[in-house]
Amino acid sequence: MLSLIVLCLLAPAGRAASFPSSAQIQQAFAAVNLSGSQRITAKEWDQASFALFRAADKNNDDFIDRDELRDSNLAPDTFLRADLNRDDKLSVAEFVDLRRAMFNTADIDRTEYLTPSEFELLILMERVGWQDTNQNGRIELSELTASLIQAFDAIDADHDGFLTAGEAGYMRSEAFQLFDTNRDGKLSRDEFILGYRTEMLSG
Amino acid sequence: MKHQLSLALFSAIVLVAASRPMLAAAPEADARSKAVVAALQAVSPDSLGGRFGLAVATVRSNERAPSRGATALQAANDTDHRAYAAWKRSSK
Repeated sequence: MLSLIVLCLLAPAGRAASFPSSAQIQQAFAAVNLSGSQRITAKEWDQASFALFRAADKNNDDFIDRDELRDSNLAPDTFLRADLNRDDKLSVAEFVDLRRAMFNTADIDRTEYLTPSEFELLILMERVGWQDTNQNGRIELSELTASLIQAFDAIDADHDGFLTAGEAGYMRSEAFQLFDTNRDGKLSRDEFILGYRTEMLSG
Repeated sequence: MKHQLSLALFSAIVLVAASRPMLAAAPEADARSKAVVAALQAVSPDSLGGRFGLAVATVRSNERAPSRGATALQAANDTDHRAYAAWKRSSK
């Protein structure tokens, strides 16, 4: 019994966040980016949100209710906050409203579209989180740095302070090469942070 | 008579040719939407954005009530419902 309790306490801390591969992220980006422009527009994002809503709305009544929530991978805490009128179900408007807010937040350089790099960061932050310290709903550079430090620590599986191409398998290979400024085949924490920050600033 | 028959045949061919892409469009749209869901859920199992979505929703729920009136909210909801209904019709 005691060992079971100890196992339960250790499990969440010991579980490493699993990251999708770069190919999967690029495939998802391409699926949403119907125009093939390498930029996900707000309209394309909405279309994808509609598809996700319909997939979760099993009984097709235009609401995601508690039963459907249980059968889905939607986070109950987020569901509660997205349910703005507190009727214990999500309308398509409430669902899309949150998804649009995610889009606007993930659009770090505020160009009204998501680049492959912003989409990659969004997938990363879904796992490691993001702290909106000034509560303005946007990712400021200081907040981005804080998230990247968290992400780096989560990705650095052997905790040696460097990311190999294997550890950073979620990352586009061209980005890995670009960020690796000293060409040693691995990314230090500074290279990782500076690389993403430079990409965001250059649009 | 022969001319009328040719014209009728030509019209029928044109009609069939024109309707085929329209008939094929709906299943294509449905397949595309399923592909989008599969591709997105492979990288993002929680469609509400995991830990990122939770942070966004928290900020959103704090700012929402005082900043937007009930009428504006209802209008936005109606617009989204109409857009979703139109999307569903086009992808059935």
